[in-house]
Amino acid sequence: MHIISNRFWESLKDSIFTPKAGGVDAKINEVKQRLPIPVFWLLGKTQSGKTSLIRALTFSDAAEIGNGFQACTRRSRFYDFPSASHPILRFLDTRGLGETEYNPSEDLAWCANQAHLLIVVMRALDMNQAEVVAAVSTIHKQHPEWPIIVVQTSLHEGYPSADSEHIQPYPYQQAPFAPQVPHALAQALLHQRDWFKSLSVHFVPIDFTLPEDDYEPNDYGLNALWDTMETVLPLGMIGLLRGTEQHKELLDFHAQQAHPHIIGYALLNIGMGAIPLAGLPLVLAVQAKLFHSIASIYGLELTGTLYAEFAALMGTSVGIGLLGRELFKLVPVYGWAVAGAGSGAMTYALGKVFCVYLYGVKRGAMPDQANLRQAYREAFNTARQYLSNKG
Amino acid sequence: MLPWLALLVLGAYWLWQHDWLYRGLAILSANFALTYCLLYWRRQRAKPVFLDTFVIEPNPNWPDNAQPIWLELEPLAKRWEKETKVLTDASKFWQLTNEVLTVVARHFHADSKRPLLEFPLPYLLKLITLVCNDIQHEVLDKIPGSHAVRVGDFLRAKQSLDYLYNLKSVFNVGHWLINWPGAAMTHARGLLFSKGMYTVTSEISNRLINAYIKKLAYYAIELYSGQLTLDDIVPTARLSSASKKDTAKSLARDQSIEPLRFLLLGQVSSGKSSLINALFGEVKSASGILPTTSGITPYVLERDGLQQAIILDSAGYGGISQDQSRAALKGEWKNIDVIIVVCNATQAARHEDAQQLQVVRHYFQQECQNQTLPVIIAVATHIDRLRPVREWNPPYQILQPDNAKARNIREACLAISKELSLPTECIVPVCLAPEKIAYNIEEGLLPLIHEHLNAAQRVRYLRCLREQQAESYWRHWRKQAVRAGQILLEKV
Repeated sequence: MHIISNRFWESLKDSIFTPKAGGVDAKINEVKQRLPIPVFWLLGKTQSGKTSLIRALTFSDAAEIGNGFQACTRRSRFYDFPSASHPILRFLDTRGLGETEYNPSEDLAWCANQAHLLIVVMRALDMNQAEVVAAVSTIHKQHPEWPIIVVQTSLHEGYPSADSEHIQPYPYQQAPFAPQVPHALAQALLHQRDWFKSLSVHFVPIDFTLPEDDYEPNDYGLNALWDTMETVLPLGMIGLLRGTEQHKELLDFHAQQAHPHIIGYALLNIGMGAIPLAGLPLVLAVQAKLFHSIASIYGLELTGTLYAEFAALMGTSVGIGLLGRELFKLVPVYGWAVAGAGSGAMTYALGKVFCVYLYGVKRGAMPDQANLRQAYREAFNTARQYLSNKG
Repeated sequence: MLPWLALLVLGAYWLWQHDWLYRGLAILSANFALTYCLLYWRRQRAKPVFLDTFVIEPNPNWPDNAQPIWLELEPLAKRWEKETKVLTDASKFWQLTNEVLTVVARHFHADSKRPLLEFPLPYLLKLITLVCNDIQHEVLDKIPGSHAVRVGDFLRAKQSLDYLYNLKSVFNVGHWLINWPGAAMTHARGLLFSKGMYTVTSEISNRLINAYIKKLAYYAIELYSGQLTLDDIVPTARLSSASKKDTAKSLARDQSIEPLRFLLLGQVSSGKSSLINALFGEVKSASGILPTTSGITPYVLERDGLQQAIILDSAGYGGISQDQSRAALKGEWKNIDVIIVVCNATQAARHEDAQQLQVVRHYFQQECQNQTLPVIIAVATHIDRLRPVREWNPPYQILQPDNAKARNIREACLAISKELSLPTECIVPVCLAPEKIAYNIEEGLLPLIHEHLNAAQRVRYLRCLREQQAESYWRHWRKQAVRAGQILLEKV
């Protein structure tokens, strides 16, 4: 076990500090292409809040939001999350329906070939949705297997007065709605839901506002939306993405930044590990990239000393995962999948622990070995739970 | 001649004999000078033949496509004014008449091979009567002349009408059909002679020709655009059948004057019913977040300053299961004077509204050319929901915005104006939220309607005219059929 573990750290070190030219990157890219990245298609009328939704989900600054009374998004575009280089989720933002001098049929046909899942966005108080409902029903006929989420936005327009605040706790998940929900708003929500009664659709009322709108929080219902996305798309990475963090006290701003990247690389390694006989070098190359990118997020240079210290602190605990991976790989198909999940979980856990370590380095207070190993084990187990059966 | 010259010479000789020659010559010269001066003075002071200038203006009630013809006639009038023989040469006269009528007829019946013939026969007689009558009243009567003629004005007008109505009886003979304008002008010439004007001066001739062209064109336009009615009745004095039904429906008391008809148009839940309630100041129509109105519901509104109006509330389009609303709306277009488009300011999807207005414009351009496009006003509702969403402190300076809210209201109005192709001044931002005091109805919307009252009345005039013509058309048919039936019966 020691031998395997030592070999791992050595090999990773080689990958980090003496990257092999050519070949590896091309292969990584090839795998990346084949990774199933779910595409969420956002469909709805103009100014219904499609781009706001993307902004709240992805924090993308590129997502430009309109003023509420004039069309803003002019063409369809993809928003990769967390980053364009290592996307986990992909959102397809489309031009709104109902714009003057815009015939959406061509765009709709194009989008139908790009997506895997439909998010329909409609303002809760906008009853003029014939076009949207018709489009949804057409899409459903073409792709009956697609999950559909209907997001009902701009809830504040249905509040009894301008001074009303969002209702806490979020009351829209129970049926019938809790009595705090204003009657008119409840009526409007239910009326819209009635249009989709022949389809199996998930509804999420939300209200994403601008800070100057003075509603607290600005992303009211975001958690409910994530929950629903998790329900309809049983992919482990969504759960992982939202983070069930046991080590919150050890996480700081940098770690939060690094989190989606770690998942991105972990996913990539699921793909790598699942390739029969792909071999260690690819997995290691991806992990090497992850280490570099985490270090750069922390604003630190990844030096030999830093790496050696980390490897020494981690010691043998990493080897187990690696051993498992290698053994399982001998079993055809099932073993590849498990081995893939193992590689992914390992990458994830390594990334997480590296964050914890760098956090300590930055603060000048080194975490002790036991804590670090504990963190690794927990992260590994969490990730394996999410990724092994759902990846 | 000789005896006169001899007299002159003998006179001069007699003066010379008495040594009075130079004195006599001086007196004579002074006399000549005085006479010349007096004549010169008189010529300067002489008044033109026509005391008043007359102007013939196009009728503002004409449909839109009739107005440009008027301008087209100007060069034609200029050209013919210089012709002097028109009044005496019948063939020239026929040529002029033909030219004017062709210009007008070609405009209205561009696709017809012989546009001149595109009108019913009795209308032609009416045309002649009207031209003669007008030329007599407006041109000949303004020539100062014998008092006897002036006294006979009324009589003569009647005579001229009788004279022309008598033509009806000889109409079929054919001669009048060919040369009726000649007949009209002969009549005019006769009147001039009776005033002692044996020579027609160029001034009178010019005036007459100009007046003739204008008058002829005027009535020809009325004729071809379908404005002439056989019965001399004012169209708006009668109630159109649609209004009859609606007033009965709303249990209003009997009306004597056709009201203006307003149609509220807009997407589902854009606030049409709320606008009705705000206009009436009481709850008349159910309004709420969910679509409430179905079909077209009439309301009779009476307000100070605005004469009685019928407001039609329509079901919004764009909602689910609201497919029939478009067809129902289309049936209403021709009965409408003012369209009020109700737009939710926070609704950026205005394609439906733009499309609906496009249908209206197309309808009046293609299918209903002899009526004119109703006045279109847009109302931007829900402006209280524009950003900043929590703020609502009316009144706002919308024309010169001084804060974010006013700026957004203005921007929203501009966006509506652009997307619906309406002038900016036809967009009124309002707030009709039930929990707030209605904003900008009294101070914004009603004044705007008042501004467009003239245009709306013109639309109403044409609308009533059409309906009446349709009615009178069938009435005449019926009369003729009955008569034919009588004759048949008598013969049997």
